Amino acid sequence: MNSKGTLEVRGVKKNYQVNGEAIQVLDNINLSVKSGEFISIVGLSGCGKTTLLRLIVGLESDYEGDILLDGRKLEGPSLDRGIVFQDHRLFPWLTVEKNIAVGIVGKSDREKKEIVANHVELVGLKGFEKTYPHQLSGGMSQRAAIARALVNQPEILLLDEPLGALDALTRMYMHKELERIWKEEKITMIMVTHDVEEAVYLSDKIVVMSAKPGRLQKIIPVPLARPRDRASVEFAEMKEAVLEEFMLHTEHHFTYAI
Amino acid sequence: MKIDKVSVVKVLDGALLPVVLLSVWLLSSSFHLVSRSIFPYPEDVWKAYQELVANDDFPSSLLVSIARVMKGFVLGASTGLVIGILLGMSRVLDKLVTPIFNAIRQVPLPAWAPLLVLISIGEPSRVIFIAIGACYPVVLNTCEGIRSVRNEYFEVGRVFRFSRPQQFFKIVLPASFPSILTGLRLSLSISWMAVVAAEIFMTADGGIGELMWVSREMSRMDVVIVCIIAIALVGFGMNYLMRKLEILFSFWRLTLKQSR
Repeated sequence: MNSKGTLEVRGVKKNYQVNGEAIQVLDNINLSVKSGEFISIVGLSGCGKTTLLRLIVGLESDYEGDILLDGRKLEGPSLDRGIVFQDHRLFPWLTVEKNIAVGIVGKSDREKKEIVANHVELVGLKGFEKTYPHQLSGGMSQRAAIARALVNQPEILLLDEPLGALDALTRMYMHKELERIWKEEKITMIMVTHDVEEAVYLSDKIVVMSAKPGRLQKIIPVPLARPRDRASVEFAEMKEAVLEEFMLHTEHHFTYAI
Repeated sequence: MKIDKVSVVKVLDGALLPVVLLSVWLLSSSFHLVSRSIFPYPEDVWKAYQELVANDDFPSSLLVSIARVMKGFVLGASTGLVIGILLGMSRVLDKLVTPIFNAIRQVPLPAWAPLLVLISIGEPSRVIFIAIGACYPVVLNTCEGIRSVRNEYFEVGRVFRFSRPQQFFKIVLPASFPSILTGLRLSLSISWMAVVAAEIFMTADGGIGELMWVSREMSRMDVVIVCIIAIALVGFGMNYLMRKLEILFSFWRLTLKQSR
């Protein structure tokens, strides 16, 4: 089995300076992610989940603690980590295929063409190579963004609420697609979301974070078999278990006993 | 070419006022409401136009001016592009140069004429005069376009480890291109106005401005009006072409509604 794409987060703390005052956003985060795992980070807004993701991808520096990828300490962004942002961030002046090609490094034009074609195929955008982002729907834009993030064959794909802006049906469809891509590419994926159902559907482990300062509240393994059935009792129970962490579980009626 | 209803209506809307003005002019002259020597009748202007075309004064003057504008525009716009990119990219240069640039920008274009005539007599001074006017809008729009490139795109560049040149050519330039084109359109517009001013303020050999000025001296108001109409039409045409170019290259910035 591939040993690449293991991530170790050790005692990470992060402060932001706001008007000369230090505000703690992350406090003592410890997390280990195995190769090929699908992890979801769930939490209320402001719990620092996006900050954690930005630390892992290398867009934020200046933190305490260690983040190790395959045992090596991270230093800034690198092609071994891809990211899909919440807003797809495709370049609006480029076609889908040029957007996907934009990050490919050190390849001949022929290889580039092949890589783009493969990734267009992977995310199901065949026939839309020449379209521009403003002509695409939200779901299709995110597919293109996923393809763009995967072209350099990163060890880890980070997803920052990638489906947050999509309508409910498109989102459910994208869950299936994301699972398929994850299986085909056999890479580690870490997704930030606030959709508990999404997290249960996709993840091997769900990391629940609490806010102010951002801390790991609980790591919940999801041992359900794939593909998962949203209508199953086990799925519902899993969802309840996660929601319980937010005090949002369904109230059980008190049964009187004499 | 398919002619759609909307664009026909748009052209008709735009033509309405000129037609009204022309009618007023025709009517006022047929009722002799204005002195003919001060404001000539339409038929006088038409005759002057035919006369000018016949003895080749008119097309050649226009061509001389257009050639002059192109020289000034290319010089001014390219200088403006370089300055705009530098100011947009470098915080240090922005701090050092922008204040003095903003001060110089306030000097009305004709105020440069005496100085330029001292530096060089003849064509270079006129071209530089146009270039000064052409430079400003390009500097401002280029600089503004570069500064308003969304930080989100730079983050994408950082994730892919773009080098500085890659960042410039793959993000900064394409993202600010529509804004640069706006600057170029305004610049060409100003250049065209500047050429007439240059030909009036700095005695020119040939050109539509000179033709206009000489005709005024000889009280040929009919020729002056032909010149004014020609200047307006050429300016309109230049602006129209640049606008088309601008829309062509900023298709991605248009909202869905506009792009339909």
